[in-house]
Amino acid sequence: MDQRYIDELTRIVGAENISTEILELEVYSRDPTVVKGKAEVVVWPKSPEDVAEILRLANKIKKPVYPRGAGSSLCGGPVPVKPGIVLCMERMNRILEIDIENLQFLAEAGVSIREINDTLKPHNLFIPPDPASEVSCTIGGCVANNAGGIHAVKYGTFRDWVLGLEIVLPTGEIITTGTRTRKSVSGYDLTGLITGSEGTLAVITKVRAKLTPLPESKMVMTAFFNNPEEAGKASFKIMVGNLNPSAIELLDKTTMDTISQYLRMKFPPAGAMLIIEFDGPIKEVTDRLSKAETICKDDGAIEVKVSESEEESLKLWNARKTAFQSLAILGKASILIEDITVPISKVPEMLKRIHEISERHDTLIPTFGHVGDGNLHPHVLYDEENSDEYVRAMKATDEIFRTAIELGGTISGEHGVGVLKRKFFPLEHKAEETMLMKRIKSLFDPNNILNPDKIFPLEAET
Amino acid sequence: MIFKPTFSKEINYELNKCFRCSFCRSQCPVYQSKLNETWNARGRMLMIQLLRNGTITLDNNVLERIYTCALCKSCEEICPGLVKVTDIVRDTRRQLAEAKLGPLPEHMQMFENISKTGNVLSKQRPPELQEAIDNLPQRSETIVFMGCVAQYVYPKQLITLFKIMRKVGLEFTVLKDETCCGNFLNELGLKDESLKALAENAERLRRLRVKKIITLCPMCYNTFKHDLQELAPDLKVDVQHSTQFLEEVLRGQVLKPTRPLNMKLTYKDPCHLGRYAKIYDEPRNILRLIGAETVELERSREFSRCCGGTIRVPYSDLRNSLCNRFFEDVLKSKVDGVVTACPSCFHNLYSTAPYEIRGVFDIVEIVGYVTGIIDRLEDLTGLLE
Repeated sequence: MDQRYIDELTRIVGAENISTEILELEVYSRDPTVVKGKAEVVVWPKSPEDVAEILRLANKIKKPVYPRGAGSSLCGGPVPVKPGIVLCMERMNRILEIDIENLQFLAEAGVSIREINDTLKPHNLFIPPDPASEVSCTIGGCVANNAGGIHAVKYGTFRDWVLGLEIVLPTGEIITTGTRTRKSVSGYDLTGLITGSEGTLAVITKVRAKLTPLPESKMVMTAFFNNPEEAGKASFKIMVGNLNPSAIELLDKTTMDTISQYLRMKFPPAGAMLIIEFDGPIKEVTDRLSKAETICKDDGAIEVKVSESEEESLKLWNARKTAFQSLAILGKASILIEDITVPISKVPEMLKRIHEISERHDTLIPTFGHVGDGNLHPHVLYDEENSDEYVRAMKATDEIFRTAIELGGTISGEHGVGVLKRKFFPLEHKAEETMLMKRIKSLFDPNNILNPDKIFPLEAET
Repeated sequence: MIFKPTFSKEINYELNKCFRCSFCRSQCPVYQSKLNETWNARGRMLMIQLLRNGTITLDNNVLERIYTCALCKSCEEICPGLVKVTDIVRDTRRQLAEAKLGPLPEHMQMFENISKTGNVLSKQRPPELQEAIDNLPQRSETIVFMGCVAQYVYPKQLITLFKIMRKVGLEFTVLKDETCCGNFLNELGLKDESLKALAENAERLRRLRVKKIITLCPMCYNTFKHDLQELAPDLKVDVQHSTQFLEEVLRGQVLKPTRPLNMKLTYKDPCHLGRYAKIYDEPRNILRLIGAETVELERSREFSRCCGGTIRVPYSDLRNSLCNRFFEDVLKSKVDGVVTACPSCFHNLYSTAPYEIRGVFDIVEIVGYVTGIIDRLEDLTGLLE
């Protein structure tokens, strides 16, 4: 990048908030995925005005800008796929307001969900959506990707909690969207449009979101089944049985095996397990737990166990959080993490089909995920150097996406499309719909400088 | 500079396991001070992978990231992949040392101090401690391994421990020619030098037929508890940290508090005592047994904040920043003071403590005070004016 632009960026953010060192460029060109980028400069704005000035400059010189929260995306979302500016929001990290009377807060984009919830705890309040990375992922990133997590089954995703945003348009205007009220039908829902737009329409600088009281109690049970399909059926029955669980997670046999090796944990021999959580008033929780127990047993559960202590529950949730890492035991160098979501009645069918796809293409596809809301994470494992295996893995991936769409589902429940899923985008969206989205994009970002080459397939991919 | 580390199968496995999930952002104290991922565990892991692959070369930025890892293990507590981050950093430092590209000149000064004087600070024992040592027997089955920082900077911690041990009737001595245990050298990647330092002490232990070691310093504790067993498995030595010993005698009522403390304290878990040695309960039990009023910090035990102990030299600014962050939590908890069980933590915290609190204290001295061994509160080492 031309030195005079680097100088200009330095003037905007100050020398301590910019880097062109190779080390920073490399580190900020990556997220957890295999997608690699080409950062030319990393900047850390401290205010919306900084962001606006950076964007105005970038827009003028037509240089791509890649907003980044905690960089915990699982789809290449923040990766600077074209040479450009990485815009790190991690130094805009203040909680500005906790409005207890109106059950809401206002925070800068770079605050982590954990920090928000730690601050709210003394007030007995919380914001419920909790992606697995809640300890580190930022509120800005969560809103930009409409993140979910294990409790989305009861509490929804960030879309259900955001009241308003402060955003900066790629052309440099600072805009406040939404209201402080619980409802509003006043103009187009720009807050809703930005939520889940994966940082392609505007840079989120502040988030105003709703809060709710912490549940009075929580209880966790595990149920073990002969196969994922049976577990999926039980999960569906719990969902439609008006039991309102706060989490239902599924782990298939391969994942159970890798976790038990990885964490030296013991599970009963089974083909799949559910981890089910209820929260709320204790009487209601125990009542629902026992109803869920009956459903599981009626649906063929081999064993059902209620956690006896908070510690035991915590251990189970930790195991769930380690599920992905434990797959390392299988010794495959590459993993495609999918997050297809199907209507809840189709979960058993989807699980059955994943198993068939895995067998047909002789590919390992350990599957776990938020089975309660139909959001599954099949992990397609392969060895990149084994070209035959690679081809089979790609075929399996393709079929998984096609099956999800065939069953009325979506290619992404909570991770976003980013880079990794953009070639599957046309499976779900017709050309006219995509065209409308692209027109919205160009209305916000006429020069296509903000997080370009994300969501929509590149020409070569279609 | 060309530096392409090669790792054993085990270390490569650990390094490849890091999938950059970002969880360590919530724990790494250096990242939280810098707010730049290259100073985070995840950034360091990617950096070492890139060095290994030859994508980047060694420069001062890279060196700085390697030597500012406080080896505090905070990241390892949150890592879902259970990546042994500190083992990877230590092994990278070892290879830098072998290639004569590290450690830093300031570190080499510390190494020279140890080589020349036997202690990292290159100091003489304070006269009051020397006198106490002179009065100890030549040999005993139990020894106190004094450690560098307490021995040369905060002798009262040791003298108080001696008095407590005498009060409970425990016969003991010290290695009168004690030299550095070598732990710090190992942290700097000077593995052979560290083993040599430990071997010297092992020889002394063998000569005096020592059966039990009590240490004040958690780093010394880990060295004798783990490294010594590996280096000299024939030496069957029981190793105790001073907090384990104090808890035992207080619990058994061999030692009884005779007066209240009248201060509200919070206990700071030292990284090398907590995350490394898993000794979390004993210090808390001590404070309970002496009737001290205590408050737990928002982040304690496995998630306690690091004071920057191992990176103070040469990164004292970073140490200050880490300590300041720790004291923000302390001030929020509205306590009178901080108590810790590690001379290095004590030093860092005492050097940076805000005047809003009454002091930073060593747990041995606190026990000394409530048992009347230390006369007045004003005599405690860390009381702030």
